[in-house]
Amino acid sequence: MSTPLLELRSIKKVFGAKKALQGISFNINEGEIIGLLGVNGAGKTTLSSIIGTLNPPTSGDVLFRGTSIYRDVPGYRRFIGFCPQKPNLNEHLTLRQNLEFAGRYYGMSETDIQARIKELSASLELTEYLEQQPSVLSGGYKQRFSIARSIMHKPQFVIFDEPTVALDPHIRHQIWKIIKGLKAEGISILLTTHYLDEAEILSDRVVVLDKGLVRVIDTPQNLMADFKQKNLEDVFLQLMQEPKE
Amino acid sequence: MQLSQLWSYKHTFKELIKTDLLVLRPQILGKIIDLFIWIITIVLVNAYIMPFFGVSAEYGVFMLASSAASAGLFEIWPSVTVFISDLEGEKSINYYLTLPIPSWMVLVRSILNCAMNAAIMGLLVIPIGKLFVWSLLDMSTISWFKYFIIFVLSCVFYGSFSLWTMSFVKNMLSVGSVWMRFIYPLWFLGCFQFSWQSLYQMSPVLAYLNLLNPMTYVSEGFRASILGQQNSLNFWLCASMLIVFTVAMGAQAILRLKKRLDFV
Repeated sequence: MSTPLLELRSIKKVFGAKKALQGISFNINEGEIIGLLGVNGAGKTTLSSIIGTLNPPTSGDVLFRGTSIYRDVPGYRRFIGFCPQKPNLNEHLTLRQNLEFAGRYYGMSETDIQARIKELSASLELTEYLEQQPSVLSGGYKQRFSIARSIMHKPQFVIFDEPTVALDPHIRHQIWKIIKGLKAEGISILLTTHYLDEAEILSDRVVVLDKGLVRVIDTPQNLMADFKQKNLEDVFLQLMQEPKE
Repeated sequence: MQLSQLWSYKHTFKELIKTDLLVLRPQILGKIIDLFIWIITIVLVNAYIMPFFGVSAEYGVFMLASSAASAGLFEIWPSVTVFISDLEGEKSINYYLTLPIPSWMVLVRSILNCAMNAAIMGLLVIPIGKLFVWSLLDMSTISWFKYFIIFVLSCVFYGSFSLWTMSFVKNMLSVGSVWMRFIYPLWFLGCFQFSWQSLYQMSPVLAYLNLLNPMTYVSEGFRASILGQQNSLNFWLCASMLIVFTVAMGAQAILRLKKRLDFV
C-alpha cells in the first residue's frame, strides 16, 4: 500500500481547560478530497490550522509523505496552500500585486508568475478586477482571489477552511467548480465545511468531528448506505442525535 | 537552526520586505509633511521663542539634535495600531505565518517594516532643521560616520521597541495607552530635553537609573554625533547599549507573541 500524502497521528489541542481536539488520526491520500464536517466548536478550524501549520498541536504529529512536518516546517509549507475562512488579502496592494507576491514568496520566476496569474484569473473569472484593491470586491470575489492566492504556487495539497460560508448559492457553485478542477489536476484537498450538500458533492471521503473526536470516516455513499439515508445531511443529523460509543 | 538554513529563506524574506516597501512608497510624501511640521514647531519654539524666556538660542540646536533622535519614535504608535487592528480584523498576518519561512521571521519583518518607516521620518531632520536654524547649527561638528551608525541602530531599535509594545497591547481599546504608558515616559525621561550630564548633576542616582531607559542612549548617541562628544554619554556606549536593547526587546516580543498568536 502506498504512503498517504498526509497522516495525522493522535492530534490533540488544548486551550487552557478546553480540549479542542482529543486525539485525531486519519490519512489523506494523493488526489483525494476529504470533507471535514462538524457542528460549531467541533474542532474543524483548529484542525485545519494545525495541518496548515498556523498553530502547533499540543501533542501528536502530522506526517507529510511519511516524514514529520515539524522536522522542516518551511519545507512542508512549500507544498501546501492554505485558504482561510475569512479572506485576508493585503488591502494595500492591488489584487494583481497580491497574486504576484504570492508567487514570489515561493520563488516562482516572473514568467511563471505572469502565466499563472493569467491562467487563474481566466479560470476564476477575475481578470477585470486584477488592477483593483481588495476593498472594492464583494465577499464572493474576495474569496475567489483568496483561493487564487492559495493555489498560485501550484501546491500539492490545499486546505480550504469553509470557503463558501456566507456566499450566494451561485458563487458557491462556482467555487465547487474550482475545487473539482483542482482535484482533476491531482491536487489533494482538505475541505472544511458546514454545508453537507457541498461535502456530499465534492468529497471522496468525509470525516465527522464531534467535540474534538472523530465520529466517522467514510465515503458519502457508504455513510448514506450504512445509515439508510438519502443524503449526507440526514446522516449527519442522525449521527449527532446518537449517543457516542 | 544553522546559518545556511536561515540563508535559504532569504528569497521569501526579501520579497516580504519588498512588499512593505511597495506599501510604504505612497506614504512617503505624507510622512515628509508630518516631519516638516514637527521640525518647524520644535525649532520655532526652542530656537526663536525660548530665548525671550531666558533660554540660550543654542538650545534650539540641542533640541534639533534631540528631534533627530526622536522622529522615528512617532512611527511606533501607528505600527502598533495597524498590527492590533489586523489581529482583531482581517488577520492578514495569518497568511504570512504560513509562508515557507520560520514564523518568527514574519515578526522580524515587522521590526524592519517599522524601522523603514522610522528611517523615512529621521532621514530629513537635519537637512530640514538646517534650513530653519541655519547659522546656529555648525555642520562641521557633525560626525557623519557616527550619525549614520546611530541612525541605523535607532531605526532598528524603534522597530524592536514597536514589536515589544505590540506584545503588551491586548486590543484596540487599549491602544490609546501605548503612548501614555510606554512611549511618552521613556521618551520624555530619555534625555530628550536635557542631557544625561545635567541629570547627573541634579541627582547621580536618577542619572544611573536613567541608564535603564533605552531612549537615553538614542538621544545621547545622536547628540554625540551631531554636537560632538563633549557633554554627551560616550557614543560607542550608546551604540552598544542600543544593540543590546534591540536584541533583548525583540527576542522578548517574539516569545510573547509566539505564545499569544500560538504559531508554530
